[in-house]
Amino acid sequence: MSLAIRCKNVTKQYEHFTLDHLNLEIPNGSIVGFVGENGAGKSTTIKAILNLVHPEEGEIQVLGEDSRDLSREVKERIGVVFDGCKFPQGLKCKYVDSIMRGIYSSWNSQVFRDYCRRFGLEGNKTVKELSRGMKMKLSIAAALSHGAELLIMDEATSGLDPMVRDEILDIFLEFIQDERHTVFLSSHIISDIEKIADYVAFIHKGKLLFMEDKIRLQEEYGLLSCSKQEADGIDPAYVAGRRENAFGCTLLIRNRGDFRRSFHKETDPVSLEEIMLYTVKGGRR
Amino acid sequence: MIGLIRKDVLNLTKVLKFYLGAAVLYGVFSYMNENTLILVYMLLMLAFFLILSAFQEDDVCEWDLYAGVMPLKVTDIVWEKYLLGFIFNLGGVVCVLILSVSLLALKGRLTEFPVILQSAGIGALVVIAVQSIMIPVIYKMGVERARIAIVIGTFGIFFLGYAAIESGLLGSLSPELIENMIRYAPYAGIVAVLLLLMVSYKISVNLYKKKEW
Repeated sequence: MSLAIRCKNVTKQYEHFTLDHLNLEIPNGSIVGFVGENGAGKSTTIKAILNLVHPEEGEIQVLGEDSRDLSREVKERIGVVFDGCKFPQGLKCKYVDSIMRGIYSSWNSQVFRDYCRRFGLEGNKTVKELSRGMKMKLSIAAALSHGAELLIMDEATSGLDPMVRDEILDIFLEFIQDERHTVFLSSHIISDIEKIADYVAFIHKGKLLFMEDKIRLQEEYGLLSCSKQEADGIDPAYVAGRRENAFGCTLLIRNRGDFRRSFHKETDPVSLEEIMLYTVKGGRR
Repeated sequence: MIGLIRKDVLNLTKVLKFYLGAAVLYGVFSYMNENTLILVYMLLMLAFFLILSAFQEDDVCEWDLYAGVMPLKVTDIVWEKYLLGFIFNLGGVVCVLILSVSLLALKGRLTEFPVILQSAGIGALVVIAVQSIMIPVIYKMGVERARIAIVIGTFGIFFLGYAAIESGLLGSLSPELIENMIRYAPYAGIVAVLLLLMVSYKISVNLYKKKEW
C-alpha cells in the first residue's frame, strides 16, 4: 500500500500541550477523517505535516518527500484548505485567479472559473463581503484548481450550515473518484467524517488513539446495556469504555464478535461519535 | 513571486488610490507654500507606509500560513516584500517628479528641478534604509510592535541629532572635513544602503525560516 503521508514518532511540545510520538499513515487513494475534540492536536498535526510548525522529534513524509524539504513539484500536488479563508479581505474574488496563476505553474484558470460558477462566487465581491460558507468555497476552489493529488483540510467544514457542508462533502467525494487522489480531513463534526471517510484517525490529548477502517471500526465495537453487577463480571479486555447512570450502565465493547461467542450476549451497533465519547470519557462518568 | 506582487498590489488598490489623492493634496499644499520639498518627503513617507500596510493585511488574513503551503521558497516570500518596497518607492519618486515638474513649470522655476531630483534620490535612499531596518523587525516582532519601534526609533534619531548639535560636536569639525563629507556622502550613502539591504535580507530570511504558524 503506497502512502500519501507518513508520520513517524512525531513530537511537538508546547507549554501546555504535547503532540506525543504520533504515528500516522495515510494511504493513497483514500479519505481519512482526523477526529478529536478541540485542542486534541489535529491542527498541530496538520501544521507539522505541512512544515508550518517544526517538530522536535520524528519524521514526516508527504508524497514520498521529507516534509521539511518539500520540492516545488510536490507542493504543487498538495491542495490545502484551512479553517478560514486566507486570502486578503479586501481582495476581489476575480483576482484570486491571476494571483494563483503567478504562484502555481499547474494552475488551471478554466477549472477555477468553473468552480466559481458552480459555487455561485461573484468575481466583483471582495473576500470580506462573502459569507463564511462562500469563503470556504473560494478556498476549496483554489485548492482544487492546480491539479492537487493530496487534499489536506483543517476543520474546513466547521461553522458551516448542513446544506453547505453537504455540498462541500460531495465535492470531496467527486475529487476522490480519481484513484490517485487522497483526502486528509480534520474535523470535530463526526457526522461529516461518518459520511465520507474510508478511515478514521482519532487523536486525544496529543496522542493517536487509533486509526481504523471506518466500517471495520463499526463492526468491531458495540454497546452493551446491563446492570452494574453484570458489567463488573465482564473481562476488562473487552471494555473500551463505560458509562454509568441510575438504572445501570452501558459498556463500549471492543471485539464484539469474540465477545458474543464468549458471553453469548448481543451488542447494539455503535456510531463513531459514541466510540469517541466512550473512549475519551467512558472511564470517568 | 509575480503572484505575490499581484496579491499585494491588487489588495492595496484602495489604499493606493487614497495615497494618490493625498499626493495631489500635498502638491497643492507645497504649491501654496512654495516649497516643493514638502511634497518629496511626504510622498516618500507614504510609499514607506504602504509596505507596512502590506504586512498588516498579511497579518489580518494569516497569509503567511497559506504561503507556507504554496510552491514558494522562503527567499521568494521574503524578497517579495523588499521588491514591493522598491516598487512603491519608485512609484513615489515618479509621482514626486511628475508633480514637482508640473508645479515648477506653473511657477516658471524649472531651474530648481535638479534640487528636487537630488532630494528625491536622497529621500528614496532613506526610505530603502528605513525599510531595510524595519522588515526584519516586522518579521521578528509583528507589524504592531514594529510600528511602536518606528516611533521610538525616530524619536531616538532626532534626540541623538539634537544632542550632537547641542554638544557642539558638529561645530568642532573642520570646514574641510564637512565639505568632504558632503562631497562623498551620496556615494557612501549608496554603498551603506546596499550593505544594509543585504544584511537586512539575510536576517529576514533567517527569521522567517524559524517562524512557526
